Parts: sequence; structure tokens; C-alpha cells
Amino acid sequence: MLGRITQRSIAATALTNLQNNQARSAKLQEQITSGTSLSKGSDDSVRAAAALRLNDQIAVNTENSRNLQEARGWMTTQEPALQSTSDALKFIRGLVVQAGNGSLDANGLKAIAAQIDEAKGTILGDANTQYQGRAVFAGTSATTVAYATSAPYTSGDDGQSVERLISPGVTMTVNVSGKDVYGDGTANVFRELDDIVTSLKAGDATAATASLSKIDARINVTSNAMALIGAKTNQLDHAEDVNTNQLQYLQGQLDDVQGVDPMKAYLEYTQQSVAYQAALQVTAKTVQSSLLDFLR
Amino acid sequence: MSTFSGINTARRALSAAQLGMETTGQNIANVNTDGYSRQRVDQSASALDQTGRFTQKYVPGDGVTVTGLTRVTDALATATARQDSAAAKEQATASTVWSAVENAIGDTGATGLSQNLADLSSAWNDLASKSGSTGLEGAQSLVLTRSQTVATQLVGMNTQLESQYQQLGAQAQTLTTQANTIAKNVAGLNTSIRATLAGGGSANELMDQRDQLLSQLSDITGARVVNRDNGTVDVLVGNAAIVTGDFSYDLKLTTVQSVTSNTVVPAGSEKIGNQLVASIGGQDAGPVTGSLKATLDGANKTLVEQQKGLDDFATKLASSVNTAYGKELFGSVASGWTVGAPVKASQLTVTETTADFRDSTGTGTGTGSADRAYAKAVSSAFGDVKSTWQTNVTKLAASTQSVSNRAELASQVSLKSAAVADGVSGVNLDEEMTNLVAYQHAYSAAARVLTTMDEALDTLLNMVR
Repeated sequence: MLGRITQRSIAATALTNLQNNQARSAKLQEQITSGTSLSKGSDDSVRAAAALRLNDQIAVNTENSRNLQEARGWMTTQEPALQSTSDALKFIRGLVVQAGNGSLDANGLKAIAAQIDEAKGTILGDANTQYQGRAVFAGTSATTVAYATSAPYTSGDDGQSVERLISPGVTMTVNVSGKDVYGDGTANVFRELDDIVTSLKAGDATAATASLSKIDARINVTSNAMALIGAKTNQLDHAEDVNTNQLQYLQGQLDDVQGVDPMKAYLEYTQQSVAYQAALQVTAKTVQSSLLDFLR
Repeated sequence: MSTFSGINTARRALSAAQLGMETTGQNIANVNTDGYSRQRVDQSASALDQTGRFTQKYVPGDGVTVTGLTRVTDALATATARQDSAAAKEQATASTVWSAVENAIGDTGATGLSQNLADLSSAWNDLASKSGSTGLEGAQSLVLTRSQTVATQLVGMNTQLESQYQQLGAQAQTLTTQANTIAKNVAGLNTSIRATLAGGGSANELMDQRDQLLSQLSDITGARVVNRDNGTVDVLVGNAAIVTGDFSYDLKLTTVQSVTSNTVVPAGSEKIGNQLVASIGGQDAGPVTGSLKATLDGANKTLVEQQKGLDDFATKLASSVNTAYGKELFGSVASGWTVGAPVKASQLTVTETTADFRDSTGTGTGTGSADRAYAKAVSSAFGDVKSTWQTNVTKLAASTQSVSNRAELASQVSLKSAAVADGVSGVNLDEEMTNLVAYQHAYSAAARVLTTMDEALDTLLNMVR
């Protein structure tokens, strides 16, 4: 006899189906209360793989944004230093011109020499600017001073570029080479200034005037360096924007993959509750009745 | 026809109806008994035995004979239900094993090892830009601390796998003991059934009990049942017999060293890689389905694969970092280990200290010393390491999900085939009530016949005064 129904099979089927109903309700409840639809990888392995990738990309993005902050620190340290150097050089130029116009006597020249010497001290201080305990114009070298504080003012710059990873696969050079701006070896700006001071103290204004071209060259180089930093700062601004946008995008994606839309989840839960109620009522009616109720 | 043959017929009708009512009563009493098969009374009309010259032409039969009390079952339905149930149990156990593994190892990227790897990678990134002495030591010790966290977590995962292996071993032992107890009981029942049937009695209830035990045994070991003529059964696990007629044999579990070696491992020192082998009387008796098979597979195959995955990852982590760092940072506590050799996840450790860290004094040598080219190299090597781990975890998640889906499917199939078997042999109260009413009427009618015969005889006896 096919399809014969027995009391046991009715009870077994009813029990299994009610339990399945409850399991579905429980799962929806867990999703709503935890806020995530992906509590472990086996819930949905495809979405779990996507979540892994997205979390990884978000971590890399955070690393890059820290590097961007560091790069910005370098820029904001170098720029004022170069500005100050440029101003000092222009001031020195004015003094040299004044010395060379022949209206000053030896004492006047000595006074000018003293001022130039002081301005040189300012420039030396600028050249040895530090960022987090490290000389910024010394390349990747670990020294705390880029230039020795007394003659012959040897440069500690190792000529390497300081690179920072600002986005996956993209590095940016954040430093300006000290040697390019302040010179190196026998041709550095401090020795040139020392020479000017010496000749002024000796009363020789013509030698001082002859080195005006060198000072002009230095001013040029400093301006170029400042322009370079300006361009890098622009690049940095743009990179930071991209980084922020990307973070928002990634977080949005992650929410899509593993997040729960509360409205949708709540609607599903309500529907599920109604289905469960209906199942309970029907089970109560069918399980109870049998022929015994109707026989005398 | 004799004078009293009518009374005889009525008497037989009464006893048949009474037997019918008792059988129906038995069915109703057992409506909720697990494994009970309903019983039916088979009756046939009995013909009058006439021979020779006393044969009469128009004579009705002699009443009703009860020819048997059958137990309604379908062998195919029962066997299918048993097999499907064993398969469902196997998948359910396998699903439990994989879930436990996923608990130990898996993650979705927000927690777990992925998060620690990301933290470690960013610590190296920060170190790459530290210089001079400001913050250098802090950055170095952050790198070492986070490296230690990763190493500790890998060791912890391996420990969890090992303890799961111990649990599976204990579970397998328990299941084996259960199976042996059931086999003994089946053998006992075999003896009783054989004796009862040989003595001409009805062994229906004993057979029901035996069927229950056989289902339990099949759930554990996927055993096959072979019926014999005298009412006993033989039970086979794999290719070896665990029950033959009146005798039962013990299923034994031994732990051997590995797939290739047969040296027995002493109790208390089992670890992943050892193989659990089931045998009966020295003959290989691997269960083909059932929860014991899933337990053995979990211990012998699944955990071995997962541990290998962990070991491979530990080796990759150590070699990538050590190569990029240029010195040994991750090492192994194994004696005689050298840089570049494979590392087991259980033996991974951080061997570098802040004192010995590359340019811990802040000076260092070589190009780019203050910008830590090696730290950048390590940081970029982490991309590969992280993606290896992601692949591991994704494969684990996919396997666990598919096993869990199979388990659900198998349980649905098992439910259906159990319903079919129950449809044949289960008790339906409506049906029993109807039968009861029918037998009751038959009894009343037979009693009425008896009364009528009695009155007729009375008339006959009072005819002659």
C-alpha cells in the first residue's frame, strides 16, 4: 500500500518541519542582533573570500594613509627651512651689493662681514633642520646634522632619495637633496660665504662683488627646490583625496558583502514568524484528531 | 456434519475473533514504540476432512483456522532506510568535524590570523620610516611583539587541532565499544529467535528488537545485514563479520604510526599523522559509512591535511620574512633547525631580540640604512604571505560549507526513506480502530451463532420425551 500514513510519521514530519522553521527564525534573529550576515566563513564561502580581500585592502589603505601623513610631515619641515634660507641669501646679496658700492670704509665692511656671518649661521641652522630626530637634508643617512657646524662643513648627505609608499605600488620621493641646494665639498655655500666674510674683513670689496654670481646661483637653486616641494605637496594632496575616497569605497563594499540591511532583515523575520505561527496551528489541529474521537 | 459441528465452528470463530482483538490491542499498545512493526492475523477457512464412504456432498467447512501472525515489513524499504540513515549520520559527523576545524583556524578577515598579519605588516611599514633614535626602539619592539603574536597564534591553532585529534580518538573508541555491545546483543537475540522459531513460537517482538539494534549498529559502522534461513542474521562491517549467527566478534581500534608504517603507537602519545585502523580478529574492517567512518576519516585525513596547511604556511612566513629581513627573525624550536629549512607550525617562534635587531643602535651600515630598505622589503613580502593565508582560509570555508550542505541533503533523504519504511510497518490508529470494531462484531456474531446452535440442540433434545 503506497503512501500509508502512520501516527509516528505524522509526529516525525511535524517535529522536523517545526524545528526547521525555528532554525530559520533563529538564524534571522542572529543576523539582526549581530549586524553581520557572515559570522563565519562557511556561511557563504564566496562572500567570505570577498570579505577577506576587502579587509586586507582596507588594512593596506590605512598603512598608506599613515605614510601620506609622514610624507606631509617631511614637506612641512623642508619648506619653511628652504624659505628661510632663501630669505637669508637675498639679505646677504643686498649686503654684498651695499659693500660693493664703495661708500663704506674698513669698519663698515667689517660690520657687513659680521652680519653676513650671522646670516650664514641662520642658513647653517636651516640646513640642519630635523624631522623626528633626523636631518632632512641628509638623504637616507641616519645622522642628526646634515652639515658639520664648522669648516670645512662636510656634508652628511648620502645622495639617496627618501621614498614613501603612498598607494599600492606607488612610491614618492619626499626629500630634497641637501647637496643640490647647499652644495658639497669645496663648493658648498658656507665656504663661499666664509670666503666673502674673509675678504670683507680684509677690506677687499671687489672680491666680494665678484662672488655675487655664486650667491645668485644659490638663490636660484633654492627657488627650484621650493618649487619642487610645491609640486610634491600638490601630488600629496591629490594622493590623500584618492586614499580617502578609496577607503570609503572599500568600506561600502565590505558592508555590502557582510552587512545586514535592518529593514529587509526585520521584514523577513516578521514573515518567518507568521509562517511559524501558521505551522503551529495546523500541527495542533492535525495531530490531535483520530477515529477514536468519533466512535461511541 | 455431526451434531456438535456447529458448536465447534462457533468456538473456532470466537477464538479467531479474540486473537484478532488481542493482536489489534498489541498494535495499539505499541503505536509509539520505536522499531515496532504492526502484526496481522492471517486466517483461512478450514475445509472438512472427509475420506472414504462416509463422504457427504453438501457440507460446509469446519470453521476458521489462524494460519499465521505476520509481521508486516518490507525488506527493501527497511534496508534502504538503514543505509540512508547511516549515510546521514556519517555526513552529520563529518560536518561537526569540519565545523570544529573552522572554529580553530577560520576567519573572515575582521578577526583571527588575517587581522594579526595585517597588524604585523603595518608595524613593519612604520619601522621603515623610523630613524635616528626617536621612536626606533618602540617601532622595533612593536614589530617583535606582533611577530610573537602571530607565532603564538599559529602554535595555538596547531594545539587546537591536536586536541581535536585526541577527542576524535576518544569518540572513535566510544563508538567502537557501543558497536561491540550492540553486536553481542544481536548475537543473543539471534539465539533466542532461532530457538523460538524452531520451537514453533512467534518471534515477532524479538525480531523488532533485533531490527532496532541493527539500525543502531548500521548508524555507527554502516554494517550490512545478511539474513539466514533459520531466522538468524549475519552482520558484516566492511568485509569482516562482526556477528555470525550466535557468535559476535569484537571490533578493535589500533593507532599505528602512519600510512606507511604499521608500528603500534602506545596510548597517550598519539598525534596527528598517526592512523586509526579498525579490525576484527586481525582482519581489516574499515567501516564504509556511518559515524565511525566519519570520525576515523576526520582523524586520519582531514586533520592531517589541515595541519599540513598550517605547517606550509609557517614555513612560508618564516622564509619570506627571514629572506627579506636578511637575518633570522622567525625560527623553530626544533633541535638542529637551520635557516631555510621547513618550519612546523607547532615549533614556530621569534628568535630575534630588540638588542640584536638590525641597526638597533640607529646607525647601521650600508645604503639607505636610516630608511630601512630591509623593512620595506619585509613589508612588501607580506603581500604574498597574506594572500597565501587567505587562500587557505577560503578553501577551508568552502569545504566546510559544502560538507554542511551535503549533511543537510543526506538528512532529508534519510527522513524520506524512513517515512517509506514506516509507511509499510507503522501503526495507524484509525486502521486499528476499524479492525477492532470488525473483530468485535465478528465475536458478537459468533457468540450469537453459538446461542442459536445451543437453542437448536435444546429443541432436539426436548423432542423426545
